[in-house]
Amino acid sequence: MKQNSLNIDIITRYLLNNSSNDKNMIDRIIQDDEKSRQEFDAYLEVWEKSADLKDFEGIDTKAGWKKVRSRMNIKPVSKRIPVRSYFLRIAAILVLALGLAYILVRLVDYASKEEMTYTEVATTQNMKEVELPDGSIIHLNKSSKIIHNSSFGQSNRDIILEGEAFFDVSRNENLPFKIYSLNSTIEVLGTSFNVKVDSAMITVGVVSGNVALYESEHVDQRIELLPDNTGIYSTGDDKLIRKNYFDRNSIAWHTKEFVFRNQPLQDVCRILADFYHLKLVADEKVQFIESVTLTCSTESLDRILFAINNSLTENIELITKDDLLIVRKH
Amino acid sequence: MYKLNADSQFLINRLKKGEESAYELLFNEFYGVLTVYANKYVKDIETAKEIVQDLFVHLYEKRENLDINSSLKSYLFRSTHNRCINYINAQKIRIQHAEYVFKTADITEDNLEQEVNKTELEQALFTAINELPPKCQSIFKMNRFEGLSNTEIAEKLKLSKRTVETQISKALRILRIKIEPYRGICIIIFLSVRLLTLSNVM
Repeated sequence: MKQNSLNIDIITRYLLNNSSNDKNMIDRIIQDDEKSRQEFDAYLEVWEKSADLKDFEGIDTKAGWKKVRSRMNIKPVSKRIPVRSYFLRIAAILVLALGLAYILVRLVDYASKEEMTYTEVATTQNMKEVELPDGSIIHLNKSSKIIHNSSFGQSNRDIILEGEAFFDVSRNENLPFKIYSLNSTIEVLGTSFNVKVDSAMITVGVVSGNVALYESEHVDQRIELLPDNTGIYSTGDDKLIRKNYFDRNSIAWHTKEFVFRNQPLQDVCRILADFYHLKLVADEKVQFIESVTLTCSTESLDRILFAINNSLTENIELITKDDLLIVRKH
Repeated sequence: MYKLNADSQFLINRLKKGEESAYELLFNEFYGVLTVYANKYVKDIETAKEIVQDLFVHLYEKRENLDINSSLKSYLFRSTHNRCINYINAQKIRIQHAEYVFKTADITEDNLEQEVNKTELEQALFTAINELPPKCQSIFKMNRFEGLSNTEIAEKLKLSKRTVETQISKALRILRIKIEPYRGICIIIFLSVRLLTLSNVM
């Protein structure tokens, strides 16, 4: 690192953490260099001043003006304009009527906004199927949650999601269905897809239809996902990634079946271990050269292992013990 | 920052005529900055708001006798200043504020200008903060306004600490550039130093 140039990251780190190491480094740089000192002072000023600006937040100019105006007793400057024409009168009445209608609509709108309530569905140990007012069906995985407001299906189709869910969205071209989680938005018209929200990552797997995924602030930088695409958004680096591949086995919690088509044994083991929350342990003598072709229900792991063990030609077997999934030689 | 030419005789004439739109314009332009200025004296934001609102109502009521010798801006700041002093005296909270009031009661034109500049810089900074990209803005505000540490922000927003630091860095960089024009004196020193260095090179 260049010692004689001031780096904004060091300044930020120093301001945030107040570490003496950073301070020493900054001091060394600025004592010899007037330009760096000015720069540091400027940052320091922004930093210190901004802490005192909280009060600005409470100043509502519109509300203030309303108060002042009501006290000002302003008399409207009125001029008498003779309404000569009959048509002009009709026009005036029409404008008035339209204006009233507009106010009425706004009032109703306002009243309905006032009564906004939120519906929350959350799961802990069990999965749940939720039918939404617009006919869409959400299959909620364990430990997951969705929230929507009372105008869902009328003026919006917005959902907040935590955890994981499979969406069967009924088609409505006029009202996009939007899922908000972390900093991202998923937008669809009507399709089925899976969304998984981890602490800093969202994974969208598409089964049918089109799905758009974007960082909520940047609608223009969206990625469009097609069937059998996977979209990933990670908050750490704000990155959006599209993969031309979607592993249906990742939604086995919803489909309740595994479909392995010539899938390497190693992958199969990993998928099973993930799904049943087991730790994967492999005998070091085992070479994963075989692949598995099998369709089976997720209901019984023992039956799956029995089927796999029967299909393997090498003398390898899969067994479970406590919370381990063990791959070993006979 | 002031898009409004607050010193124009045209505006003052409109105010004298009692045109609502002229008052609204003036109010929109100065309400925030005057409230913050008043708050420095009265140390209560609601009181500060009331003082400034009173000032505007008064301005309207006395519009026919409006006598503005200096600029409209310094008139507004000076009036706010005087109203604050009156308020403090009336509230008999001299004890807490005695020193400050004593120092500032007889404010000179120079002092006033300094205070005005300081307040304007603050408002420029506040405006610039509100113009930051949303994510950057909320992280910066959480730290500066709510006093949350970077670790606390990272936890709350489920972001990495590194991301929080990057966003704050970004905010600082933008804000520094935006408020540079308001830091008049500093930039002159900065420029002359640059010129000196340049002339040395040449």
